[in-house]
Amino acid sequence: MEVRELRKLYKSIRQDSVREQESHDIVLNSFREMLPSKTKLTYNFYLSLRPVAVSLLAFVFVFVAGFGTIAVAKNTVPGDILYPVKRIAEKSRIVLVFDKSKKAVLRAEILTNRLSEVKVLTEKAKGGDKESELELNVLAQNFTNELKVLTKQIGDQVIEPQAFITPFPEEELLYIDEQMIGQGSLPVQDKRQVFTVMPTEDLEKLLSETQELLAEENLALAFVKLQEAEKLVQEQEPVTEPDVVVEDSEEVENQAEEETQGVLPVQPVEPVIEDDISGSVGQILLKQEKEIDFQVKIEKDSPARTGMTREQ
Amino acid sequence: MFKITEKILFHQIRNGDEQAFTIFYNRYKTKIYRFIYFKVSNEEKADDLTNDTFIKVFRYLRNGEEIENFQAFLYKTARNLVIDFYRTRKQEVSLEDAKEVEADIDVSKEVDDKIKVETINKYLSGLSPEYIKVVKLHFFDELSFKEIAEITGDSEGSVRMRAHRGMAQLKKQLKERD
Repeated sequence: MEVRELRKLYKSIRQDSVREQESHDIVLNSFREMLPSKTKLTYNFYLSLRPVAVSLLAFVFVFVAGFGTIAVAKNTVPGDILYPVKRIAEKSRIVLVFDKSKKAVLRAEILTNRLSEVKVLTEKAKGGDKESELELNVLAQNFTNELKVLTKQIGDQVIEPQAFITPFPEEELLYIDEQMIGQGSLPVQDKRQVFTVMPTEDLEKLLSETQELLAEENLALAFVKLQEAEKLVQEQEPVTEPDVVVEDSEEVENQAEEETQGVLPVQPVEPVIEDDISGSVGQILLKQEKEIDFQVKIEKDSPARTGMTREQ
Repeated sequence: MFKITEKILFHQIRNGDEQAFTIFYNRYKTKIYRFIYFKVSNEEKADDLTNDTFIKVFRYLRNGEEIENFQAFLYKTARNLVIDFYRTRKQEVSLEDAKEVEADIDVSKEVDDKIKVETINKYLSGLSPEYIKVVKLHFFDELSFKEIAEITGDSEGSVRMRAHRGMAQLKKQLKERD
């Protein structure tokens, strides 16, 4: 026998398989008792916290992004990208408030917002921004409608419902859909200049007073103030010319001839009384500038821009 | 490289990593069992002492003690436990234990292993007592001279010399017996 064989013999000594497993279990249990897993515990702890952390982060992100957007959208005007966000936020606020008096205060606040937007757009329109002019018209009408809605609501609370003679349409119907204008569904034409002249300072004053009165729940006085505001707006209701519907080329030619002869469309700003135009001086100036521009264009025999030309 | 792996394994075991435990246990369990069985010639006792060896090592690690060489430490622990076993042997034996052992034991395997041990011992017994231990640890258990020196507490040079002389004696005896 050699040493190699002896070693082989020695190595053939092995533990019984059943006992081997038993021994393994015994030693493993002792190992677990004596050396509890630190790494695994730490890992599991963080792993269990991970979904919580992710949810928390997502919530914070949504919260910050949502309120951040609303905050940024606060100073937007029609035509801005974030303007719809502002409108939605306003509508949501109205929906979320259930108290009637608080709702009225909120509406008054929103009206003040609209008025400040009118101011900003007037400034823009003065700078020659055509889009702002269009937006201004829509906004002015919206403002008037919203004012009517608020007056009606306050009136409902102050006076008995039967006192109202004229039926009032639904609130939604009072809004001019911006999309409709964009699609050309409404007869908006470049030549037709509809300008709402708003004595913004007077209105602003009236609205802030109304807001205060509504906050104090002095509905009757608030109603009076709102009626005053409505009256003020109605006095300055936009003077619009009838929609020009061009049916054939002859009419276009005739119209062009008329224009060259100096027959200008009815200008909406002219009948404004000087006493009431504290907030609309800019707009009057703007109108006058536009008149001059228009006349200069006619002198140059340039074709007048009509709805048809725009469509072409 | 092996030392680094050992260190990582050691660190992981200390942190309670069960995977590291499995690697460590599977690497040494048979070696330790064989080493103990060769000394006690009883499967059950060898099992118990093997388990005790590992448990003792874990207790040692739990107390924050450092281990330079795992294998050497295991063999040293096993050796001490065997010594303790022989010291307390008489007190442990009882009739009930003996019956239980009889019921569990695979007799043929037990006998077979005992024959193996006797055969090896027959060849080793011809060596000088100072060589037997070193030859067995180096040529049968495949421990390095450094590890053997650590277990026995002798110098590495002396272990090396005894191993070579003992091996020469063993080869001579094997030839003579054949």
